[in-house]
Amino acid sequence: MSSTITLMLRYLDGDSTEQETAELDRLVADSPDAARMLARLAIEQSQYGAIMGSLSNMVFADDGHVQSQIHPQTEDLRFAIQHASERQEAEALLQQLLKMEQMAARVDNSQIDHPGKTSAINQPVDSFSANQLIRLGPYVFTVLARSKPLKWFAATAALIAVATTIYFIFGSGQETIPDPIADQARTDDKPAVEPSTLIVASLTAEREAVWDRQPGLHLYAGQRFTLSHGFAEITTNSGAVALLEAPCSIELTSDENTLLLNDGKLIGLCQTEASRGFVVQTPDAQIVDIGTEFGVIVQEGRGTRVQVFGGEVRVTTNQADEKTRRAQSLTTQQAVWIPPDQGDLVRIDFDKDAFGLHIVEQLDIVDIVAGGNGLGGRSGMAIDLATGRFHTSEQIALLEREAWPRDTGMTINPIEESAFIDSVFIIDRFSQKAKITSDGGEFEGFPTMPQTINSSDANGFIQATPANTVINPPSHPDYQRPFAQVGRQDLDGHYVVIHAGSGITFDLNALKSEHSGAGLARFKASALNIEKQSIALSPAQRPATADIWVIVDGKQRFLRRSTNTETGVIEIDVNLNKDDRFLTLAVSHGGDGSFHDWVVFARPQIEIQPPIRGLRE
Amino acid sequence: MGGAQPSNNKDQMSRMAMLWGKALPSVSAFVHSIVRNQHDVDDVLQATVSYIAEHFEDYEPGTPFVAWAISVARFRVMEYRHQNKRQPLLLGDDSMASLSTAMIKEAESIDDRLEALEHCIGRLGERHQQVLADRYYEQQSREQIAEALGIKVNSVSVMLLRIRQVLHDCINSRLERIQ
Repeated sequence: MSSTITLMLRYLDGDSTEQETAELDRLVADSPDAARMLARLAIEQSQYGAIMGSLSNMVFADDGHVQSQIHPQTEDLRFAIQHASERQEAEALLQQLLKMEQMAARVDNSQIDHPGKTSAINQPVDSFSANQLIRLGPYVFTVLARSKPLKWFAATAALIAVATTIYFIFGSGQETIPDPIADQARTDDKPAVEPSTLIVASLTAEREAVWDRQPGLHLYAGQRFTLSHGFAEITTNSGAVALLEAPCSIELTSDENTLLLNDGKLIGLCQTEASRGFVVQTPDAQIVDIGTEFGVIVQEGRGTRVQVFGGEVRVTTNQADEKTRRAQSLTTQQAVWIPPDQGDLVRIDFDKDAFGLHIVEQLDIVDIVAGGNGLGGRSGMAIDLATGRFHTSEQIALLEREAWPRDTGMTINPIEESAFIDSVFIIDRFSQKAKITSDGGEFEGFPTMPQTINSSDANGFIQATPANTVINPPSHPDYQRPFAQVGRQDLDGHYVVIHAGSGITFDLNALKSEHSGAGLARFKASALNIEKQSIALSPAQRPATADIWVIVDGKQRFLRRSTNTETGVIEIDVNLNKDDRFLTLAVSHGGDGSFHDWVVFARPQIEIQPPIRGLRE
Repeated sequence: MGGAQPSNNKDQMSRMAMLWGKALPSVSAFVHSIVRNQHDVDDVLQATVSYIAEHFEDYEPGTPFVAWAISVARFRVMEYRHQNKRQPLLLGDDSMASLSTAMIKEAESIDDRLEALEHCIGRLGERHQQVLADRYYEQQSREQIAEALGIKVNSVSVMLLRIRQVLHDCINSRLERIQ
């Protein structure tokens, strides 16, 4: 199914080949299910622009509310739309107009006070939205009817805009943009909370965050937020950083070095002098940070858990009576639990997996070769050198293909299914050259090789395998390779497997940008030539080795020549510089026989410095 | 039309504007999926709405307007193809018929789908939202986006493909949950 959806998405974006289009045509003509799927994708695709446009036309105030936009009077707007010469302009203006009408309608409605009604937007459609549309209908048609003097697109753009706006009005219901009037109503329900004008912190990062109401950049004392999905980072004015993990409810206090955690998970980081003494207050305890990193978990009815990743914190229980309060200092890898309502402090085991937000010190190359971003822990995939496509291990074990011509020559396939892998390539066995980057970069200096990669076999793939395995499909029953050394202790871990004559290039820029500009410091792996010498070999075939290469931006950074099984595990450790763009791993024959040519890279990784807070997938 | 009184005419226009506005996301999605460039999509939509405006008295109130609008659009696409023979052929007549049936069916729940789309777009990371806006709102080329982000054009394509797939999955799971 996933290939059908890819096919459809490619088609809708104008990327499909003639052949793919023909395939899709057959599919849609024959299968109502496929037609429905395409219809749905087409609906989505045709609205990305309109939705993104309407989002980008909003002006957000500091507190996250939609501020009234910079607009002239509605009459002027109407005039402006009629004379708009650009599609986007007409669309944006019309949306403004509709929003103003909507605001006006809300104000009108809020004056007629219905108890229990919090927001005009939740009203039945025909109470104001439809009226409003009817008011605008003739006007839009005027635009349409006058489409002669207008450019053709302004008229249709206006209609498209109306459609998206209709959808906003009819369809969006509860989850629209925060609405000042509705929020006012909410605040009225909770008179205790009085958001002040005191800025105490900033929202410094978010990832897939969904809030009950979107915080603005500045956060004010007294504001409360609930994060229902994703992660967010708040930096207090004192410089303490709080990483929030959903579900999580926090409240800002007038003390810029104190946060209230009512529910959920928070990791506190105090890395500045001014933030020493950062306090996280929970319903059960107070945690004072003394220059460190710690995690707090509050679960309703289940108390508070505190654990220290590094440094020291002081935990004090919350009893009103000072005499019964208990306090304890915790240092690295220590943890306590404060059961609810008991004021007790119970030592518990440190749980490094308690948070989805964990420290990332390296990117896992096996995960990347399996299609991930370096954090996913994936394996069991292989990339076809002939096509650049991904297959699962199961697929390649079954894959039956024609053998390539013996001398395939220099071949490179850009990888479309991963942004982090530039390409996979085959080294030309005579010219000692390979194209190693998809932008045409070549590398010269490989030895002449006895044979090229044999595509009909597992060696036509770059593999990302689960721990201590190498996929060795039974395509040649008479040629089962004895990979005896796989699984030895110094080779423990997941593997990237590369057969001599091929290589893979990673896009370091894409990795950096995926991981918020992380510094990629070095490439490390433990490599071993695993193919045991076959007794059946003739003496002439005996001396057979493989060379292991690490190339950065076309320059050799690591080379170990003439390895075979007896060479043992080779530790690779290559420095990476800030401006390095492409990292290439390649294996060539050693300029001798064609055996001993399977190399595994165990635990291949890119070290990140300084470590970043990453998210598990 | 000539005999209609001005006020009736105005009412009728309002009604048509509403119906058309509500049908437009479906009609536009339909046309988008069988006509390649935006200019031609807009031409076909324009021809469709002109036809509807001229023949609005043919429309029987109470019947699904969107079904009518999509069938009008389908014939406009066929006309358009007839006039522009050099255009690369996308979906053929059979799949177009099958797609229009599917689209009419989907129109019943299109509001939910679009609501879910907006919700899911809101859940995308900032960077992915930006790429989506650059591509489909600003209509930037992938090359422009790649340059601005300092990544490969290929990565942009992959990213867009992923974003769209993620959105589709997110929408479907949200709609399932709601039901």
